[in-house]
Amino acid sequence: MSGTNKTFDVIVIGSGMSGGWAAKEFAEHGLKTLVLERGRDVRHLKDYPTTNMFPWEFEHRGQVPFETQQANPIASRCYIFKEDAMHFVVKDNVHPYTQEKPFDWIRGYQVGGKSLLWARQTQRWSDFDFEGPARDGYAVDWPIRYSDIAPWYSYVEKFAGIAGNHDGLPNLPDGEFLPAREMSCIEKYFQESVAKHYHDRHVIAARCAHLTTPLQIHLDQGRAQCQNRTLCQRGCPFGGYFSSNASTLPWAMKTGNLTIRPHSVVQSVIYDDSKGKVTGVRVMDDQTSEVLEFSARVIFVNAGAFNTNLMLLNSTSRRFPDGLANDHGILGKYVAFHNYRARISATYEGLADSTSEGRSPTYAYLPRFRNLYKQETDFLRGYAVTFAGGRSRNVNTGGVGTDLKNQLAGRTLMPWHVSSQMMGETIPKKASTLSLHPTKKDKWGVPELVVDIAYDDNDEKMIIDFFEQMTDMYTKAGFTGIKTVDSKQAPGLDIHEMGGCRMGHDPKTSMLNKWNQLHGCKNVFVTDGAAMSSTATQNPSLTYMALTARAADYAIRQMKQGFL
Amino acid sequence: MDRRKLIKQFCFAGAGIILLPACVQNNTKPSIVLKNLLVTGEQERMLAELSATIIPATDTPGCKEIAAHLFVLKMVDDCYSKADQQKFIQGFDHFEKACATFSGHRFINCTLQRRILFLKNIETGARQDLPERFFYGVVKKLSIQAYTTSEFYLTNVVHYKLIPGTYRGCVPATNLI
Repeated sequence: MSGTNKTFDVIVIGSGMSGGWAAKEFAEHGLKTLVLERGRDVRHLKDYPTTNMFPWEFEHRGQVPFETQQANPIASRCYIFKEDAMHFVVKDNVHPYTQEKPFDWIRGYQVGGKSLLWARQTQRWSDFDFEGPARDGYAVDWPIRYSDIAPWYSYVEKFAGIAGNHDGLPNLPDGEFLPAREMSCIEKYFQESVAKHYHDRHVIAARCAHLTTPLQIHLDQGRAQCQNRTLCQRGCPFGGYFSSNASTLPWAMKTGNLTIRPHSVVQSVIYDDSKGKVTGVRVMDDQTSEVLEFSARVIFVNAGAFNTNLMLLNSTSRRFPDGLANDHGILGKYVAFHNYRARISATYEGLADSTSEGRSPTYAYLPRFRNLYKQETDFLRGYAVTFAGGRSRNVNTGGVGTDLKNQLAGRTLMPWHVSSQMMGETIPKKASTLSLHPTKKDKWGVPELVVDIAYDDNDEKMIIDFFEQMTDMYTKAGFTGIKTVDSKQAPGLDIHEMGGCRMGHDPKTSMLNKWNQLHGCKNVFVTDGAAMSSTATQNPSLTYMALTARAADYAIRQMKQGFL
Repeated sequence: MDRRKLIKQFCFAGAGIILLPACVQNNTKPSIVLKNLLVTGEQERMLAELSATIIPATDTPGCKEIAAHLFVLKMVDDCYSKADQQKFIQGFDHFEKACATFSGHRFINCTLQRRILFLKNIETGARQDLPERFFYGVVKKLSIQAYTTSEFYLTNVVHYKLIPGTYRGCVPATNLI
């Protein structure tokens, strides 16, 4: 950290996907900005220790040692927690939490947060999503519609670099796309098969945050074309995918207006009863345990959905004894996630004379088709679906000696293996809550987070429908050996936890207004997953980025006009 | 593969072997530090033979040349549960006894032919639950993993690229080498 200045124009809590955007917007507009990150520093290129390692250079060829797995049952259930990237995933004992019901809370405490680790899927929401709660009578009406956020989707897409096709689908609006990554023959085949049998289902190339053809704005960030390494979780030496580390943070740093302070665990924001606003934040330095205060005119809370809730619940004052701007007890309630339990796989004997070559950082995508125009099933909402396929070498491991050795060369190919995953919308409910533990505190003096979230009947029905519909689509495509799997995994492994500090028109039933500004405390904004009034089916990061840039723009205008 | 490259591979592999203290150690200690497994130097040499029988050197390196047996030990030591480590060590003894019953010799003293016959016998035997089968299954699985993730295999057999550059969604399947 440069100098000992403790007063800034803006404080951003969190340096991940949305915090990075807040930092960029404010620093670019000349505002002195402090980013507080609870974890260690991770610099682009410099702090990706495994990025250039060959498979044989890993002591355990990627596997996590038994003792580490035993010590970290939660982290070990996350697909990222492998030998090459486990240093970016928070170990179970670092920051314990209480699970009223099983919830796997996956975290990345470092500069860049989980933006280093994300699956890089960037689908826009449409009005079918924003109008969902109002139409179907759950949660609370979104205070924005697609037209409010569309220009901001464009704004962040241009800078982040999003690959995709212009598919012209009303339920998955097109954006500012770099050329899409090429679909494989099996994906094209499935696309055609689905189009032939269903007028309302469209398989497309998933939109993803990869620089398929970088533009000047990306080169200016020091990033280069995606090389299809598919080792993204290690940190990319090319900056081929979007992360705070490769993109927004260094960009903001270049302005000279940004200070990043790692090892800074924010305990609470400081509410001044006489001024009727927040004047700063209280931080415990993770290395020295020293408690420090930093002040600013505006606070952006981007700590990651659950930690944002935790910090706000812990921000008590005479005016707000139950957490900042929480007069109605809405804070920490109506939390939701994505239902990722269901998968289907099969074999395809056709297209025997073709295969794909190289590794693909993304796959095909089937946007939600259930209950789109009207309610048509016995469950609310629906699910999006991934589709991926490939042919592996036919490696027969039977026998021993030279025969086995020859077999291992695998000179022939197996038939196509195809698989799909369900990405289901879940309904935010009052009973799905985050709260403070009455007695247990963590080592930073903050009460332990209590998580009380579970699947419901709607989720179970949706899984059954996914299996039925996908089996139907797979069968019509001539796929055989169809297998369905319900992993029964606890919520959380989707790493799409959302809500608790939801947006809404009415201050009596929501925490944030249409600018992501706390109804009850105007100089605090929440623009990470906590702000989400409903979850839709799309991977949420792109929407967090757009909401953040939009809210920052509003805050900057308000600051210039002297309102903040 | 061209001859020069092949010779180079062998030289690297050879150099590796010489550096390993296997040839100078005493009889009781393995050449690598293990945290959990109690394995003798003799057992380590036997593992090297077993793994080399599973994937032998031909005109290209096999398991011995890539020190696959050390990977086997490392993995069982670090990545297996205590219970499975015990089964592995017990299975080791059973394996030697079964080999003596089958061929009258310890595995290391068997001819290559007898070794292969014995391994095939275990592999295709009706009893899947025998301790020697567990041991052999682990050694075989990890030997194959060591071999198919070795620099030799990924460079010369399947041409792994750390930085592929391109991805092509649809190419003729005949392109496979």
